[in-house]
Amino acid sequence: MSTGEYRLPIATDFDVTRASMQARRCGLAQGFDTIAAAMLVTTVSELGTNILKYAARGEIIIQPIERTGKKGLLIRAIDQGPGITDIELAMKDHHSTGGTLGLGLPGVKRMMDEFEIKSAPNQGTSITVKKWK
Amino acid sequence: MSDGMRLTTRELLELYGLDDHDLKRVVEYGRIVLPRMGEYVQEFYSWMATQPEFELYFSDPDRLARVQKLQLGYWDEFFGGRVDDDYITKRREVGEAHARIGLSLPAYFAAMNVSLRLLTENLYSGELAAGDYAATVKAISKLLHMDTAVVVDTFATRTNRIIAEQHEALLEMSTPVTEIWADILMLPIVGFVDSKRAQDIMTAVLSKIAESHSRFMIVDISGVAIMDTAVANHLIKITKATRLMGCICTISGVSPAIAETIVSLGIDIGNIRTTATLKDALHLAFAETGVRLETVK
Amino acid sequence: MTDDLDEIPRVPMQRTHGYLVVSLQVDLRDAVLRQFQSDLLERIRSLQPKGIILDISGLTLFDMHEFAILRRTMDMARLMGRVTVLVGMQPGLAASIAELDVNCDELLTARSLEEAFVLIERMAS
Repeated sequence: MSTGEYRLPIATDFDVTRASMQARRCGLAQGFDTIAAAMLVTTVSELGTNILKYAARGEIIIQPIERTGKKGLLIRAIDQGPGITDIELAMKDHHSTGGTLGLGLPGVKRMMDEFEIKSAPNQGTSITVKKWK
Repeated sequence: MSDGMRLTTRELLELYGLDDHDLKRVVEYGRIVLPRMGEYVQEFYSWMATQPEFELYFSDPDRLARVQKLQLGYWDEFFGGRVDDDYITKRREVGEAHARIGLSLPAYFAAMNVSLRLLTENLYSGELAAGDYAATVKAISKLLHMDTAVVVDTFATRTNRIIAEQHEALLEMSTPVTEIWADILMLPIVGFVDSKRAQDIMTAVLSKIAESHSRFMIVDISGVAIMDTAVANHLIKITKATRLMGCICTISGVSPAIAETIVSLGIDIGNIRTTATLKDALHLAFAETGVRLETVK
Repeated sequence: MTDDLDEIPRVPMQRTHGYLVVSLQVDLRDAVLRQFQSDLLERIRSLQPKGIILDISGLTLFDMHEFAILRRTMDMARLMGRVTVLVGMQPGLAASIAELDVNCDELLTARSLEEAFVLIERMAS
């Protein structure tokens, strides 16, 4: 465990809001500009909402990272929910005006630099994303 | 932590490694110390009197008597050795009561710590064999720590609830739909938009349109703290509804960050009219209502 | 005389300045909407109106199914070369339709009959 890591339990809308705002603070502290910080906020909000919707509860981890002098932020969303049966399908864009927009995962992938998803039916879901400065 | 995450009585007992042998030892030790509780009370309250935290108890003799009675009742139950759901519920109620009167956690910890020392040292006069005594003190410590944890959890739950309520209160802050010009309504959305607030906004906007029969609605989102698919969906729905009522709706205040987010998320906003600034939206509405602004020289 | 249970209430329609103004004030049962659909298309054929104005200010309840029928009726009128404008939708109705996953982009709406007339003129020209 590194210093500056935040583990945020997700069980209510309020938890998601709190985690999202934490992502913003961590992002700005890592030197991201406000646009990138907004992406981080949105990412946590999407992942957190998915946890509530599909697993009822889980956890979001926000961790400042560094690689070869480059700063970044890691966000991990973990739940013990039903898991995703068809990951490929979940990663497809759904286009509909005002309708349900799927998992929002393709969007998260576009906003982040690295995206990794581990999930299987009844095995829960773990999504790890990284954004580099 | 939400109430749903709370451990059951059995899980608590397992977590603190309390088994029937431990509880039996607690009960046996109770036979030794319960008759000496008068001494405990005396010593405990002379300690308490030295602690500024507890001043509030001493300022009111009635309250002091009530607290003492509750405390003695607690030790009766503690040494009763029956740790069931009722027992845990009572501990939670105690935590709730302490939190309500504003007793701090450190003060509560200190009091429990003093109690442990008084009960296992001051009130003990060598009735048990050395090995039994050590095992008994261990059992009592386990139960006491478990009780303390339950109270702490109640404190934390209460604190979280207060924070959540404050958050709610912030969200409920009025949605001021204002007629800023003849035929033009404006609503600034500031802060967080959850589904409940979206509902409130929808109601406020639509009833104002029905009441004022305005032709234009401008929803300014420059103050929205979190933009995601859910929030975008809410905004799309609000726009859709205003249009169904014959109103022309513009979403203003689309910052670069919001624009990038919405496109990245792959959200199709259809033909909803959006502008970067409130000023742009106003200009559009003015042009369409035939208002021309001139600077008076 | 006994009431004829098969009698379906007719939706009142009237011709004004070359427009067909329809007042949907009754509760819209399925059968009423279907009857209205055939009545409307028949009127379009016989009266050749410039456009159709659906005054729905008296409607407070609507479900997805009823809305879908009305949308289809409007599509049919469009195929016959007539635009339809919805007038006076109530807040509750607007909110519930907005919740439905239907595309409302093409829907023409207005707050008043006058505005609807203007809208139809603009669409026609």
